[in-house]
Amino acid sequence: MNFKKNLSLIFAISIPVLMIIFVAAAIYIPQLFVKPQYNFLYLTGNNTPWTVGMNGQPIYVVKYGKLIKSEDAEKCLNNCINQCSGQCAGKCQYNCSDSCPNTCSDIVEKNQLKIYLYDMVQGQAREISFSEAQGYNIDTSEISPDGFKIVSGTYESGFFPFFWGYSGHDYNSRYIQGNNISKKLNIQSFGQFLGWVKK
Amino acid sequence: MVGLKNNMLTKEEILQGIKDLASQNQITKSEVMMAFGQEIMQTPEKKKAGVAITDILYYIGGAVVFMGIGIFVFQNWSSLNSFTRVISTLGSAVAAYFVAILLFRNEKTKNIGVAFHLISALVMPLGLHITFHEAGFNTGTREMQAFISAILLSVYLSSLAIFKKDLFIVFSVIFGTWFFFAFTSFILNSSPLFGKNFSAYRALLTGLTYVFLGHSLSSGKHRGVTGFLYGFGVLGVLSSALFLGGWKPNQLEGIFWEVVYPGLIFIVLFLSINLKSGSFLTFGTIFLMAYIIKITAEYFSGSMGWPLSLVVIGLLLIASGYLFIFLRNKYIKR
Repeated sequence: MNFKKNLSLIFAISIPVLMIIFVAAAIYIPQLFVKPQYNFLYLTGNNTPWTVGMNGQPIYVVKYGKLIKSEDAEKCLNNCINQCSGQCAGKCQYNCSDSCPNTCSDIVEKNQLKIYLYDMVQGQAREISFSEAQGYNIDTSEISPDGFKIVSGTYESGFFPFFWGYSGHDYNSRYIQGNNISKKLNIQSFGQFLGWVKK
Repeated sequence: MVGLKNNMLTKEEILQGIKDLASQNQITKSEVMMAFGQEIMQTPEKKKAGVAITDILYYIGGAVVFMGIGIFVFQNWSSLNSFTRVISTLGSAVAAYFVAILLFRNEKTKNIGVAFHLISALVMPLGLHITFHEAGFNTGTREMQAFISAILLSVYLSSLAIFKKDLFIVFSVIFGTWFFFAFTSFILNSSPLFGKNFSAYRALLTGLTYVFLGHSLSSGKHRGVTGFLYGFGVLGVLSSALFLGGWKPNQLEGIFWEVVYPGLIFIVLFLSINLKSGSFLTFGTIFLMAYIIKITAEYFSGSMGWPLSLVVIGLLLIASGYLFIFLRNKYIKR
């Protein structure tokens, strides 16, 4: 076998091997040097329930950098409670339901609404109370001050050799992406991004 | 031998004489071959044509056996226990593999051996999936796909190293491609880092790998697989590069590929002459036509209007067709 033939074989073997090395390096090496600095808050469950009294109003909102329970949500809740107790029957714009909540906490619980703080240094999230969350100054920008954003993963459909490649978002996985890195977050369930915790 | 030396030219002298005449263009290769007699020249061709039809029947038979095993397991899934599920799939694949090796040992049954290898290669992935499924693994995950394809690649690379048959190159390439796709997916996980075009780049590089592999085998004893590798290789490169051009005008990444694409087509057509490859010429022409239609539809259908665009497309397709016939007749057809 002459050099020309060997060269073709070397190219044939090198191309897939180099691509595997390139993909692995592009994913893992930048993670060693680039570290996101800002923690963030997020919710699990449904923050905008189309349930009795709520009609798609968000329960938690960030205003002026602070997490609050929406006034609209409270108003809807009161209307709901009035309606369900029959005090405003025929007058209220909201429909009654069998599963009428008695308090805002019922709605929160029903929709499995929980507030989480993701700690970038520890690489994990922990559940926090509403009162603790109120203590943080929150930046609702999509991109953090150090240039990262939270994005969903992707998924591929099909099977070899009928392989269709990229097929959309994988909402079960979340990544922090920016500055040429993309790192998977240790998150089991993700509902809504609330904002970055200001330092 | 003594008589030969005294009265006739020696073999070395005859060969040297042929070399001298060939260098002076006074004798051709076909004239030398003709000297061996018409019968010798024609025998392999006749034999080849006869084998091709029976080969197709063997392959169809192999595929039907695979379908039979698959349907049997599917229909009786609930009534079969783990052992029978594994033995009817992986067991059949292993049995077919060894039967094929035994059949390969005899020249008369060699072609039936190919059919049994086909059965084995088709049933073995199914068997491995069922075996790992029965062992409690989720075979749908990327790591399991990479692991199963790695096992299959190892089996057929080892077979190639031992038996040195073309067939094992084909299976190694197929399972190697599967492994490449599954393993890169496993590394990437669901990361959005490389965006939507990652698979297109993988297909492009896979095609390029096939072309280089085909070229490296083109003059050796495995040159029988060169056509397969060239065909799928150039198909992978040109289709993925066309896809990377995108379907909407003025996209940054798409424009790069749209500008590069004519150069790529030119290289493929040039190589078709250089390598005397019909696959390169055919796919080069087909994708030249596809490119003409794509670019006209994307950029000119709005300004020129569809009727005029269709006229331009038609004329360019006729020109592409003429180019194909011209190159094939002048450089490739033997």
